[in-house]
Amino acid sequence: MDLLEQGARTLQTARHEHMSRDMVYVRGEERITIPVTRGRSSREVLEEDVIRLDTEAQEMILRAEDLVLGGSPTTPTTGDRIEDDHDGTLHIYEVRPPSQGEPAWRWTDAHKLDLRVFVKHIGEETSP
Amino acid sequence: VSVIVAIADLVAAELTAASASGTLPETFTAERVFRPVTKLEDAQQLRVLVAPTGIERQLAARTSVQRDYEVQVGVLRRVGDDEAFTDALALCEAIEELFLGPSRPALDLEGDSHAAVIAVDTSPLYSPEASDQDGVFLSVISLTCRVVS
Repeated sequence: MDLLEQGARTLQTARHEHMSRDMVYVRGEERITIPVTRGRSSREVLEEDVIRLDTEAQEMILRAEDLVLGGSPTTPTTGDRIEDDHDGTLHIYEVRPPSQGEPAWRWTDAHKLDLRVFVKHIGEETSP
Repeated sequence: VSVIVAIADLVAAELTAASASGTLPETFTAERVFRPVTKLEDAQQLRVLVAPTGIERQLAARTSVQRDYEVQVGVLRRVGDDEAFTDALALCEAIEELFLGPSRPALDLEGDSHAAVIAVDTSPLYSPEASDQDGVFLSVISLTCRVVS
């Protein structure tokens, strides 16, 4: 392991310990609870003639090693969901590509330790 | 009363009535709006928005003016699979048929005048960006209505 990878792992550990909280990653019927860090957020407006669609885009950062579904490591897929139960509200996000033709996630680093997942806020409800 | 707003109200009312009677394949209440902004969170349910968008006037004869009013009907809903997408497309086709088919409704305005739908345009058929980026079916149907006095 070179010096840069050592540094990346140190930063990952610090992010994991101090900047993440448990969220539920959902694919179909499968649900796993994993630590997730909220990244950058932005509002986007899509215009089609007179109609405007207003969306909240969010980046979620998670450790690649945590994303294990059905006993196998996996990567995010469009349509997967992340549920963030926070302050009495369950926020529901869906994995969507940030723009047409782009993938819905990418590695955050050259060592493939963390995943940066692009999601859209699709709804919220009172925490169960 | 603004003529184009009256036409947009009539279009919204016709859509809602056709939905309730089963002429259209989905149940909804169409909304007439001036600023049709929808949050993604509100697109879980089908939304049908009607907005006035344009007026074109041209001389029809030396002493008369022909007025064409354009209103746009936005159809939005989050879709999870191809079947839901196909259902949404079928709704758009049914809306086109409603306004330009053989049993199209008369849009009666104040006095003796009424508006007749003379053109329907759905191009593009839907927004690929909304579909890919937001998982939303979004289609805009433009209706051109000519007022005959």
